[in-house]
Amino acid sequence: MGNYILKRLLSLIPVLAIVMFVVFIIIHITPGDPATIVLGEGASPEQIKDLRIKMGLDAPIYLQFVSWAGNLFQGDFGDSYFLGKPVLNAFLENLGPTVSLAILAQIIGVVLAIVFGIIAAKNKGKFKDETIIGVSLLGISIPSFLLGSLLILIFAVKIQLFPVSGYQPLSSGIWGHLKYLILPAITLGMIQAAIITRMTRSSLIDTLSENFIKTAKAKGLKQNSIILKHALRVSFLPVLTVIGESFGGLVTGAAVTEALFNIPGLGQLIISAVSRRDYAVIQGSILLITITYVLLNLLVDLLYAVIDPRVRNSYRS
Amino acid sequence: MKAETKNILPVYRRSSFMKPAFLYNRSLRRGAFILLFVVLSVFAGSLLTPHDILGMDPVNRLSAPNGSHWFGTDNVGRDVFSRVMYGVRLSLIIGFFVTAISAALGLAVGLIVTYSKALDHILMRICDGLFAIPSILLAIALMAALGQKPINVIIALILVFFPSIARVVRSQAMMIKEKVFIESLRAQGANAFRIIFLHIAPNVMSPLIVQVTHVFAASILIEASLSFLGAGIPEPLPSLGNLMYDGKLAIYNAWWMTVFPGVFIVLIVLGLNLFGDGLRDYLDPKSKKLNGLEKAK
Repeated sequence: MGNYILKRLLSLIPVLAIVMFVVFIIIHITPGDPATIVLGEGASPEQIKDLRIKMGLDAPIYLQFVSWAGNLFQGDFGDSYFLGKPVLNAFLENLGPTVSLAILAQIIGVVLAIVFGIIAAKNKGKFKDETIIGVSLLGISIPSFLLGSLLILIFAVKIQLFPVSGYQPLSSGIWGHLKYLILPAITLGMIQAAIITRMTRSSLIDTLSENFIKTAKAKGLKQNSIILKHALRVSFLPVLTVIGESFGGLVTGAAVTEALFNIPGLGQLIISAVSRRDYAVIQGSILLITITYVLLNLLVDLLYAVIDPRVRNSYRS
Repeated sequence: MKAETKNILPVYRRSSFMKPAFLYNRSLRRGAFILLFVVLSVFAGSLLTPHDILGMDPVNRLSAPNGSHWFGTDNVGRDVFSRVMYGVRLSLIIGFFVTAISAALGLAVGLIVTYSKALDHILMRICDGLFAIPSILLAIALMAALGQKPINVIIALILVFFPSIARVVRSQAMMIKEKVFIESLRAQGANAFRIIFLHIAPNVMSPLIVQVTHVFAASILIEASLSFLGAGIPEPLPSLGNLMYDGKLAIYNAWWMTVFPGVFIVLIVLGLNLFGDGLRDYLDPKSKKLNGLEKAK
């Protein structure tokens, strides 16, 4: 088992190397010289040249890559000239809101998905099932900013139940923190629910056609009891995979929702960095987000091995 | 007296004689119907458009849907209806090109790597790297690098999506490669080129087509998100995402600026998803369909 973990971690290295390469190339073919942007149009050529040397932009491209990569391994993701602080710090500061939002959204999504997935599987083929399938399909077809806009229209503008946008950190009190996060969390949560419900439903339907369920029914167990105590545990594995994978997508894809609700999270960090040509922040954040995403997927795989004895045993030789 | 024998064998009959098999699938029908509706309404809408998509009319700004402006006007007085129609056309065209080219690219890459270990390592690592970066972020970064022009949106999205197609093609092709008939072809002297394009390629089409519909739907969503963030189609060209961005700014006063473009985005993506689901069920060899034959009750 430890061997498996090691092998998986090692396989991450080439992927991360390529990601570093890709990110570096993308940023450096971007037109627009950061030094000129910082100093403005009226700067003299000497000033620009000095700033370029100071920012390390005069060195040949491959040397820039090597020094960037070298710093990376020491945990130094560079400093943002625009923000005046290390990229890692900026990233960590903006991480909080995004993670809060993602966790809240995922909880909402999972709870809704399990409830509706069970209802759909129990009533397979009937009206309740068809409605749930239809709504789930709608859920994966609607862009998050549209759902968010509609929720804002209804809950923040017409009935003024929640604030339209903004953010309050956890330190200012839990209720205030939640108040600003509820609408975006419901937005993302509903979309997550749609994704997870589809998997829950189909997995549960497959499980319910197994022989051991027939045995339980023959023994006389009530249907609810069968589903909750036996079928759900077995059908949960693929659902867990979907939950894990979608969580990674949630953290990263929350960018758009953050823009809509004006939450100072990672999405906003990257978007503002792109418009300012803040190379360091763009490179650093995309890299950090990708690393997080990849590690999350690994974690899900390992969790799978922990929960399912079959997976565990296949790596036992 | 004749004993009544019960007919114990199931009787099969074809329920509608000349109907093409794929119309049986409900998802397929509904998805296709929605898509057809969108395309036709956009066609009709563009023919009926009395207003210029860029024509500003500040006197009439932010007016609700009425006789001369069916979807109302936006914050500078432009007709929302014509802009939405243009935006739908633009999104569909972009989606089409992105999908077609990344399908071709993904197919080529996926097939070629089955025959060359070296290329397999290199190309698949690149695909893995591109795939590991979350789509929206990669798209934003690429747009920043290439500059904000519609053609660059297409290029950026192609780079975002072709790895997923390449993976699907590759995994299917790897499976096919192990089959006995390939070995017999090689024994007969077929060269690699012939085997790949004449024999393996047709067999990877099923998963490819399903993946392609997902990519089309995703490209519409990502293009809209990009434009919503200001990193996609440049203003003042209307794209569904741009229209939603304008709508967000005026959300207190003008619900029509948000709702109408939004409805169209949902319709297109929903139609594509339904169609894709239906296609997947139809093409799945493991499903219990009887190909048009239905058991007589």
